[in-house]
Amino acid sequence: MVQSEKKKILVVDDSETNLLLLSAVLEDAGYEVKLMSNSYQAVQYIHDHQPDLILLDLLMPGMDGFEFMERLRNGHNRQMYPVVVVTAYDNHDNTKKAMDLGAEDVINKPIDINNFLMKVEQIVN
Amino acid sequence: MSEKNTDSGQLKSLLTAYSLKDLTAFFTRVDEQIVSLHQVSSEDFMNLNRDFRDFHGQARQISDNASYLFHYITGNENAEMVAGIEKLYQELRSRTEILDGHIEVISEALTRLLSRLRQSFFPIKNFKQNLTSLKFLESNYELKIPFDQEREVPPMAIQEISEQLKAQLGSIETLLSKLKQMIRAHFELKEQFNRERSDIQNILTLLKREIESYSGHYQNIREHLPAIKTETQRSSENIAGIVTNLQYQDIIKQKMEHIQHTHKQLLEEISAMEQQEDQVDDQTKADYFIRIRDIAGLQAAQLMHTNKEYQTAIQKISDKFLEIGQSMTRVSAMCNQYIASDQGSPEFMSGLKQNLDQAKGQIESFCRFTRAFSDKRDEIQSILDQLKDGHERVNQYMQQLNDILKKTLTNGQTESKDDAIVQQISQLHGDLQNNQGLLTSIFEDYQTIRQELERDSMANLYDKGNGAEDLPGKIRAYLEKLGQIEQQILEKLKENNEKSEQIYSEVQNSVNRIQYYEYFENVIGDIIEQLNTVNYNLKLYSSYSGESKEENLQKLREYYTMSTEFKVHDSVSKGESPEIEAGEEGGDLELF
Repeated sequence: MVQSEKKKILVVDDSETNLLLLSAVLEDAGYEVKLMSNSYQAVQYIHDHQPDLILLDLLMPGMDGFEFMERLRNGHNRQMYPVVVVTAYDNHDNTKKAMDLGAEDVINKPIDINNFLMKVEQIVN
Repeated sequence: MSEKNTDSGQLKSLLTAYSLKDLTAFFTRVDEQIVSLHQVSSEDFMNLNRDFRDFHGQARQISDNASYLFHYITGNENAEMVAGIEKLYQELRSRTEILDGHIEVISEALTRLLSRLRQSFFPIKNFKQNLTSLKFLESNYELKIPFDQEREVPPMAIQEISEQLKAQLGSIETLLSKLKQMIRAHFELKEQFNRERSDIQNILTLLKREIESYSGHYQNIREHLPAIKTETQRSSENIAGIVTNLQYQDIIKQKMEHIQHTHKQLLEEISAMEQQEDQVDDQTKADYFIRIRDIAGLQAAQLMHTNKEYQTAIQKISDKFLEIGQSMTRVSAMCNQYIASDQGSPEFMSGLKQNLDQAKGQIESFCRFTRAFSDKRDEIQSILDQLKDGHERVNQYMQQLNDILKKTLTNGQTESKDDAIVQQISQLHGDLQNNQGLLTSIFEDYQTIRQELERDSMANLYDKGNGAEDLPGKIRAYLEKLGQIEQQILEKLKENNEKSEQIYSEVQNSVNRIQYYEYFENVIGDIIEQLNTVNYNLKLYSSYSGESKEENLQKLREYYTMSTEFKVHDSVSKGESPEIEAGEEGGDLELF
């Protein structure tokens, strides 16, 4: 990826291994990556730093992915950030719910690195 | 609800197979074991994840470097430089041939000039001698020059003109001597050039050979590009495979958490049952035991599959790590083999550099010769110009002398003298005219040769911006460029050698650091065995049938998030043996 300024991607996932893995893959592809395992902190971070893309896990302790997206949508500045749900929950209802809440896309796990990066680049750019 | 079995013997046996305490202890122990599995798998996968992060960067750097090197050497920039050196070689060869041509033309002209020059000295001496004789006659016989005193300025005396002429002929003699020296210097320079010319030819031959060798080498490198690409592609595929397999830690973790959730719920139910044991009838208790039996059987199947996934993922990650290490070592070896020499430097470049460097020295020498030949030619031309001027002055004086002598002889100023003197003067006049004619003929040849030299201009050989003078500068620029290329190549090769050695050693260490591979298998095997034992022991009383198996297991479905969990569940519920393979990269295993 050739870009003068790095695009910022926030990854929200409670799995430390997933965070490490995604940061390796995304940083190597030239993105600036912020990792968050706590969805409450992630909401605050988004308001302060305005990432170019949020990669979101659905099942997390405390605030899950759906609630996270609702909060984003109903936040005080109501600004829409591109959110991509990274899940294997290929349940049609959940996919629909995520899309209804404003997700740009739903990527199933385990991710295929090449397809994943292609989708991320499409959305970020 | 299914039909109840009323065999009281079977029912009693079922109820005495395990106490509620036994079951509590069993599920608590299994839960502790699962917690320990979480810890060890997390530790191993975290380490692998961190190592992957490092290897990924290093492998990419090695591949990028290799790709850069191969493309750099086979790319346009290098090809243009080689074409430039090739052009330079042609230019050098062409210029040496041009200089050879000039030297031959000049030498031939100068040979003729020298021959003519040798014919000049005697007529001049003769000329001078005749002038001396004329002076003698004039002083002895007091020859008077007639002129109209009212209209004409008195003409110069014969003696005075003779002196002027003699002086002029003396200057011409000096110039001719100088010219002779110049011609000799030219031929000495030619001999010197001929001695060094073979060195120039030799270096040009070597340079040509090195250019061909260099071009051949990078053509050879170009042919190996697909092999590098294959290795790079293989490495990318391994990286993609590692990324997929590293995600199984989370998959496995969640699957075991689902089992823990069930156990937690069972422990709560058992605890509640223990507290109200007196109020729970045997039938309800038996149904509950049957449910535990079915759950134990299902979980054993789920864990067998989970274990398979774990082992497969760890094995694949290890294999792919090692493959990346080997692949990077091969890439580095290919770079060394095709680009560097045994000494670790690009040998094919040093030959070209060395010959260019020598060519630079030879061209500088060639330029000095070119300038020297040109300077000599200019000096010869200048002397010939001076000779032309001298000759013109001789003619002017001769014209004056002719006029005086004609008048003196025709106006009877010699009447008082005897005929012998008149005869003598007349004879002398004729000799002087012959001297002049001979000299004119020789000097005309000089000018013809002068024009030949003028026509064969050497200016194109040393003019700034177009001439040989620029060639050493061009060679210096190519040497600098080759130096830069060599530097770049050596740096990248060194970096790749170091990185590939590092990555090779680190992947071995990383794989050796996987310390819980067997532990995980042993513990999960132990859990499976315990679950199977519970299942088996409770199956002994299979003639008792409580709720149907499907109904017993139905509640567990709400914990599942992955398709494989559902598939294993459905197979076990139907009494079939689950035949689900551990996921491949991009397979159907899924997780939250």
